[in-house]
Amino acid sequence: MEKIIIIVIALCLCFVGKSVAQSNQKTISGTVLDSNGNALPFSNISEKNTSNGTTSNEQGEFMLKTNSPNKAVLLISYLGYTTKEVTIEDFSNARNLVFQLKPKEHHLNEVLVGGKSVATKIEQQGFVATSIPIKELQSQSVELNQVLNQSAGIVVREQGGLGSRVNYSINGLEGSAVRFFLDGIPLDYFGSSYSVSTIPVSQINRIDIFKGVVPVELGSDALGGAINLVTKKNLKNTLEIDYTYGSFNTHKVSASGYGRANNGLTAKVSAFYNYSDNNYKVWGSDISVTNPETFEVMRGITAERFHDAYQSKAIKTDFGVTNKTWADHFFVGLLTSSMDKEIQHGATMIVPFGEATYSQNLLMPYLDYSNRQLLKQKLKVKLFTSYSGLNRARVDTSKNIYNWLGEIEPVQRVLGGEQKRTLNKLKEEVWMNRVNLNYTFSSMHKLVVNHVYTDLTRTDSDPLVTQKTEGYYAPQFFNKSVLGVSWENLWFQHKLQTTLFYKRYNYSAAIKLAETVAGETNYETVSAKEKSNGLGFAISYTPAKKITLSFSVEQASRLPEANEILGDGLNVLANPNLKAESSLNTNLGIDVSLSEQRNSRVRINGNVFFRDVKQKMKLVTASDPALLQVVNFDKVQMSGIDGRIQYYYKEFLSIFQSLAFLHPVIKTDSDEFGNNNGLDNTRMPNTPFFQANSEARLNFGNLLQNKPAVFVYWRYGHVGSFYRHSEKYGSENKDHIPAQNIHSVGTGYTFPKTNLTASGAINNLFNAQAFDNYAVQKPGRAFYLKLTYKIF
Amino acid sequence: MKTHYSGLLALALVILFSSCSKNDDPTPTPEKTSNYSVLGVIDNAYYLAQAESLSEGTLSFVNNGTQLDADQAARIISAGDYLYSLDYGTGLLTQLEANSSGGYDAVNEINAGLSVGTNRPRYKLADENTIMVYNVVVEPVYNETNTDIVDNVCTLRLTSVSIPSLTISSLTEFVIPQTENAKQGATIGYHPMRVDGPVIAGNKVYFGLMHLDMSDPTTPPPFRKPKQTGLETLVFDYPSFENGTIIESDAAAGHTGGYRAPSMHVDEKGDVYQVNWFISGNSFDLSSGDKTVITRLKNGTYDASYLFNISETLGLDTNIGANGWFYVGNGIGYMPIYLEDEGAYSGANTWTVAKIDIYNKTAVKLDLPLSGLFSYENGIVADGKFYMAISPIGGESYVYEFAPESAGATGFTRGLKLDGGNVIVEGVY
Repeated sequence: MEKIIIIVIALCLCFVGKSVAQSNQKTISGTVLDSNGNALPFSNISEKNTSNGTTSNEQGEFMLKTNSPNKAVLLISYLGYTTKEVTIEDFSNARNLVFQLKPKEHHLNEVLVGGKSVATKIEQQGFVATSIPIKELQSQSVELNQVLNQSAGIVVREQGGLGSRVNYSINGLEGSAVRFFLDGIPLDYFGSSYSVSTIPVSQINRIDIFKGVVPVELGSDALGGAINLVTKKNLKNTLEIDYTYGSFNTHKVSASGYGRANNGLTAKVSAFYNYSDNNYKVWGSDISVTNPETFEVMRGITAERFHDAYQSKAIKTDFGVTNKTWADHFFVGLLTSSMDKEIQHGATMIVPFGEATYSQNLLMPYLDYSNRQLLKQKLKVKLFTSYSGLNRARVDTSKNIYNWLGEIEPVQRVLGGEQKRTLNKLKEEVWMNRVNLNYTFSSMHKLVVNHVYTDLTRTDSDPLVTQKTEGYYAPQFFNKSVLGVSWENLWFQHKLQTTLFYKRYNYSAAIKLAETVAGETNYETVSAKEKSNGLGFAISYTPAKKITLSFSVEQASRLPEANEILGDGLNVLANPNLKAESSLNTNLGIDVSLSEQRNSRVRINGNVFFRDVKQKMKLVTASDPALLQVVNFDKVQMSGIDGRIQYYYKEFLSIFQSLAFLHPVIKTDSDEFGNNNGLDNTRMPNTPFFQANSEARLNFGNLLQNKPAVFVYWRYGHVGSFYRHSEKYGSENKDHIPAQNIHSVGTGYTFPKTNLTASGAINNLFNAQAFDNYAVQKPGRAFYLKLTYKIF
Repeated sequence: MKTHYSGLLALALVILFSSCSKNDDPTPTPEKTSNYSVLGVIDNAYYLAQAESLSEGTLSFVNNGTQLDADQAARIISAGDYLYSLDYGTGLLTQLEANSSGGYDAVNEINAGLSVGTNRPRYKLADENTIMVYNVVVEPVYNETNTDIVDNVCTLRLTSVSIPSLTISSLTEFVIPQTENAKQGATIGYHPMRVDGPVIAGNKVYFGLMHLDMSDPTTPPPFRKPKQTGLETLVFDYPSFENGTIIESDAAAGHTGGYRAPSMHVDEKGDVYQVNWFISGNSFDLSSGDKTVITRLKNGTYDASYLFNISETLGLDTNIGANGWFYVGNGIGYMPIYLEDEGAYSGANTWTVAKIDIYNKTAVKLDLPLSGLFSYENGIVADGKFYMAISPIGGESYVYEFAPESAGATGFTRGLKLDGGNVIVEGVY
């Protein structure tokens, strides 16, 4: 570890020296935008009649050095846009320039343009990644979860309607193995009120999904993969608002604005409000009522969910300066969010609840700093530091027993509590720091260092639980750090890209344990620590312009979560000996563009993967049969294949098809007690094995020409059936999750010259009964209307 | 609207009921395709499969058996021509009938849990025509300033289910009195937190009691230390469920409700024999003088003239523990026993079986492979033999056939071979 730091420092010093030697150069920097003020990433900036040139980064920003003594002529070009020629005469004023390019005719958006979009670039770094540009979806009434679920190899399993609990898996690794980021900042401690389930699609520019092998910039213990939400980088003043109304009394409002004064003072605000009654109909044998006299059970009724309302709201404000010599941006930010949720049922729909609720609020001030101009523009620094105070409250005290008709049964519970009697309040305070350093040695070699440190203090109280140990009520401490160093290179005229990286994971926890001897309870603080190392490599090779091959491998880790190591103070014991879960993740991918013709284009990507998971954390029965404990136990091997075909005909038609197969096999030959494991060499239970998604979209008119534009789309999602428990045992009445087939359609219309778009969607067009989880039905047919208005 | 609905419900129930009946014979004699049933648990899923014989052959749950609805667990009762499965977590009680494909079909269903106001009721076959469903709730009593718990009110709710008709009687509520013995002078010391293992003998019904020690917050129920002195049993007149009283004995100490194996049996003379339960939270917590005993209950009271000290009779070097037993007849029974010196009482091969004679007060530890029997549920008597499954951790799993007439430590043979490994067989029926 220390060696690596020394090497990094030595290399930095070495190149500082080198750049000092070249100090007679002049620097021009700026941003390339389209006519709507959106960044044009990877646009070309060259000095006319010289070989000097560069490309802009993902935010459209660039930095160019020139040896010209008094003036420079720049050519700024981007495929599909008219090239701009600019003469720079005053180098002292040549920083933070803004260049807007006008589109040529017949080019609708970045996906349709023949050149590589950011999305394509990200997909071709060697990591197996999918990058989904959201631009096209922003005026549709879709959720980010729906967008993710359409992607090959990603399974989003929802526990119900809007705001319900969601489980994500990437190539079979699920739950805490999948980590989320917002512009590279871990979302782990933002709370469920500010998450993929709540952030409106209109505030996101792009979603990057990394499968299995994750670049160090996303600093977390992402065992199975990472999902990075990239927000819009508006560089001119904007204000946008959208509103969605739909079935089940659903209202969604989102607003975002950006303003910059000439002196550099900048303000960014984004806000949203989501509400739904979620009163959709559920039916089938899991929905029953009981005759209150005879207690006979009548199954198979249709009921409307009656206690499932949800609301979430958030305001995120950033205030600071941008485009200064000392900072590209420096923001003081504040995120405040909250959510309230009624709980309709537990793990299955069989027993309905009528009063239990869950709520959460978060207050998170932060500082966000970025500077790309250090050490003669070779060093980029991003710093983020935040404090978050999160409060969670569960209320479940009712003595009433509800049935699926929403009625209160004549018999009451003696002690309250529909799911679990509780008035639990939990407070989590988290300091998070992220440091990201990016040092460019030349245009071919780059060193990235990323460090994320989080420190969590948790206190919790529940006046109703008399058996809970005092130790649990006391503050519990947990911190973790993830350091990543990567060395990125381009070789052979950019045909070969390699990234070698190292990650180091640490956690420590202070667990307060209680032991009662002869009626006297004594407390002892036990500390738990664990270090683990990860190494990875990603390579991509582009032998011809239309083909890219990639291979990546990472020894990845997931550290225990606070809950897993500290226990829940009641039924789940703390485990100070918990180790990190590990997985050797391997991917082999291919990306082919079959035709670069002007009218039609086909792109195919495929990915074969293998995951070898060890020390997988598992909740098992502890030494006392009534107690549980998380231990490192299971081994699982997963292999699979996923792929996607995209077809475009001009800007008029696009068709996507994706497929994913997963073969997850348990490789644990004995159980935690030492019994032979009958599940060894069988496929994992409760895991979808096959998934297919189709999408077709038609665009009429041309948005860029300020003419009316219409789009129509159809989407289809299929998930194959699977068993809830082992596929091996039992033959009758086995719990299974049936195959789901969901069709959705939508359309939209952009009014000419008004910046107003109206769109409509019908989700689950055929009202199919669909389940992601056993005996938990998802919403049926639903209608949505959305208005998007760009005020300026 | 409500009446309208009730009418519909009644109609639907009639249809449901009539469509479930196999024929119109008032006393149906369903074809029984199998003699025995075996309950297997694999990775929290519960399966029930038919076995032709318990004394020979093999039975595997691989692609065999019916999965039982089990939110948290499934509990099985066999009575007459049917089996009954209680879904612990939803409270639904399903009547099952063996079918011709090796599994079971649901015949009828009631919401037993709702009848006692919980989704997690307990139940037991109290006699051949009666299943009892019950639930105890402990409600704290706060002081005047509402800051401290000063006492607990422990309410028993119970209903009787007549079988095979699966009809449910009305709810009985009863506040379980707390004896001085239970409280041990403390304001909130031990209090009754669970009843279990009811048996009906003559005009009395007996419920074993489990006490919770409120003074030790570190161990959750029911694995608190058992009450260190005395035994208590709750008795009602039957079938009126009136005159509920706590009867006490100082013959030994511990819980009296059993865990999953039953604690009480009624012999051919109508006397009730009860084993106590000592296993505590983290260790076998016998105080000096404590022991595993069988006591006798008669006419609604402990019979002070009878005490069978199993610990002493076995005469082992190690302390032993027990939480239930099985009765064969003629005074002969089989009792899973925990050998303290072998290790932890759960999750380890620390248990074996003792054959006991409650009339002659003799006991012999059988030479069985050690296994984990802490949560073992049920064994059965057929053709004069006793059958239960023994599944040593890391070893082979069989149903064993025990010969009640054999006097030695080897009075058993290996019978039906089971999957073994982590296919845990909790009971045969």
